Amino acid sequence: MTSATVARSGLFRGRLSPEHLACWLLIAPAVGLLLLFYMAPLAQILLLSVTETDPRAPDVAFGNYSLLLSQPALATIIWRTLTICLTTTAIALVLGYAVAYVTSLSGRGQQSMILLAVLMTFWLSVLIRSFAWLILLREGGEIHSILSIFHRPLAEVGLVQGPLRLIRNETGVIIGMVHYMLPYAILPMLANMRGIDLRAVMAARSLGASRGQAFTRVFLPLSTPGIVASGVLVFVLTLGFFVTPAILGGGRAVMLAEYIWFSTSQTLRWGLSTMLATSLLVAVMAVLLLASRFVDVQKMYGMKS
Amino acid sequence: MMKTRIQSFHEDTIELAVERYRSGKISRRLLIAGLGAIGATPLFVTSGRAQGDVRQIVMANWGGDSSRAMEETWCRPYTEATGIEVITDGSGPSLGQIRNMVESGNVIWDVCDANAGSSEALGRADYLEEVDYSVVDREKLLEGFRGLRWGVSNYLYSFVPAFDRRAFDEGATPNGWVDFWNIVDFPGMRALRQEMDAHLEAALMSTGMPIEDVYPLDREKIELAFSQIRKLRPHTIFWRTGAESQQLMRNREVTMGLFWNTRAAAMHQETDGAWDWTWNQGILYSGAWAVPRGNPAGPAVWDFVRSMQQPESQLVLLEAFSNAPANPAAAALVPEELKKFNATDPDNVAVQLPVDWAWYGENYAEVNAEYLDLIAE
Repeated sequence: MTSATVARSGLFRGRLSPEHLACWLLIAPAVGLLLLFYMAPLAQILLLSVTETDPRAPDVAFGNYSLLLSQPALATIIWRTLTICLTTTAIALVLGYAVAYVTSLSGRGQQSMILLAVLMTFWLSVLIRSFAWLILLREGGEIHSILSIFHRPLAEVGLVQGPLRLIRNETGVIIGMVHYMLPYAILPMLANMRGIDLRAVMAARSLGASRGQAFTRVFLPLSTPGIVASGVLVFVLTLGFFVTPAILGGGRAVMLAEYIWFSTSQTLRWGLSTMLATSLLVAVMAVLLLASRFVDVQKMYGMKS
Repeated sequence: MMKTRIQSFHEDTIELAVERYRSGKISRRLLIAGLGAIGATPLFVTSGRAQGDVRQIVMANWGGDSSRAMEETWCRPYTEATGIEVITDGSGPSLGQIRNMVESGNVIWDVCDANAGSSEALGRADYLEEVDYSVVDREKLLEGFRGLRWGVSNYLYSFVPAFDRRAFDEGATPNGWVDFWNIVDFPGMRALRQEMDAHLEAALMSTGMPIEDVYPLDREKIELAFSQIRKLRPHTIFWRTGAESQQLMRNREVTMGLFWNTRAAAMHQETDGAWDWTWNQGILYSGAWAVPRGNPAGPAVWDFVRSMQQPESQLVLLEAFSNAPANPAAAALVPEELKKFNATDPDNVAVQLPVDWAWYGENYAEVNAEYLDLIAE
């Protein structure tokens, strides 16, 4: 054990040796900043959600929260947010799993190449990426033109209805979000897969399992914690998505975050927006709590190694 | 940074002007003169009234490149002529910002670039100073915008049905909101704004309601308008900023849109007339100078507002941005080739609906929230 970890484990034991005091002093500025600029405004938001009444809500404690049930528009927005987020998570997991799997099995050189490619997407802002998708997916755009070749015959025999639209709707939002979320899906799964002892798979093979069986009955179950970790991370992040739906959604696929922004800055319905923000926070915490029953959440987000 | 709020028309005007300057469509001289005319103008004439000991006026505008241009072109000449320093603050005088400033008792703005409806809303809620019409000249305002109590009409613009001629058969020209809602004879996607302004009026006229019956708005009409918008929604893309609306036209993502006439005009020039619009059933809006309650410069600011009523300076504005003069006397001075672009040309005013700003002042916040719920649901 290093002295730092000794100090860390001793921090909460009530003995205030000079060493501990130094530790506290070192983290004090960060804690202070967090309290002042993060916790205080957050507390204010929580408070506003019960004190500022919305004209359409009954004037009782937690009256704003009754809007969740009484306003059909809110139900639609929440439902749409959930559907888009779950779809995004599912697609990102499937695609990400394949990448993580291949990466974990490839050699050192290839691994760093793949990781570089995955991490490179972080260098581009979400704004640029959304506009890039706009260009590729719009009518006459490269991807749209290619997909149209397949779409046309299907439309002619009546299998699909209407013209092919890839942006300004939920399809566009999901494409943009999956793209953004892929690294977040890949990395936790990859970390998990690297820890899997491949000798277990070899053992399964030597005992007569086919390649498929060895994968589905040995590798896949062993990689479940990674899938859950990635799934939770991606789902939680997508819940608060703002830029991508705003650009690729064309104003029709309004999701929760965009609606909160609207209510805060345009319609000035702060009771409503803080209520929704609080509900979102509670929902995220509930998801994390639920996930903690299956995986070690602290480990998942690097709080302990 | 992405714009995280709905862009105001004024903000868009400046953006449009700077774009046109950069692409060489207007000269630097015109850009500068035009930007000056938005706020005040180098052509201004002071009334010679006592300025007291006012040394400084702060104008709140919508920032960006324009703010720098304004400082260079308009603040300096004003200061030279009167000794009063003019400072621009480009942080954006939104409804919420003005409200916050007055509520906190820490008012630093003297005059804000707002619009007729919001000046009415803020004025009713006691956030603005009443206009001093003994200084500001009511006669130099367009009829229909003379009655503003808390704002001075500064320039006009219109929400018009714009259309892409290439999308329709030769000779098929949409002429108003009935055609806008008709996706059979005029196929293609439509664009509406993610903000209620002018949309109830357009939706009501789409049912064939005559222009003179649109106002006064009541609950029944609002519901009717909403049901019309609901019908069109599957074929609609919603825009927020003027630049976005122009993008939709340029990429031909829509065949018709409810756009600001200024952006339609820009596309008209860019596409050699393929994008066009009709003034028929356009909804005529006005920007307005609004003075927050307890402004630091006090009543001296009205003399400054008065100086902006000069018709000549307002012409510069029309030429640079397609923003229509607020002073009806300016219409006669407009050169023939610009008349098509002038929302306040008498011929164009005659077929448009001047917005009922009093109704917006009273009902905007509430009904706009309903509208936003409607397009989000």
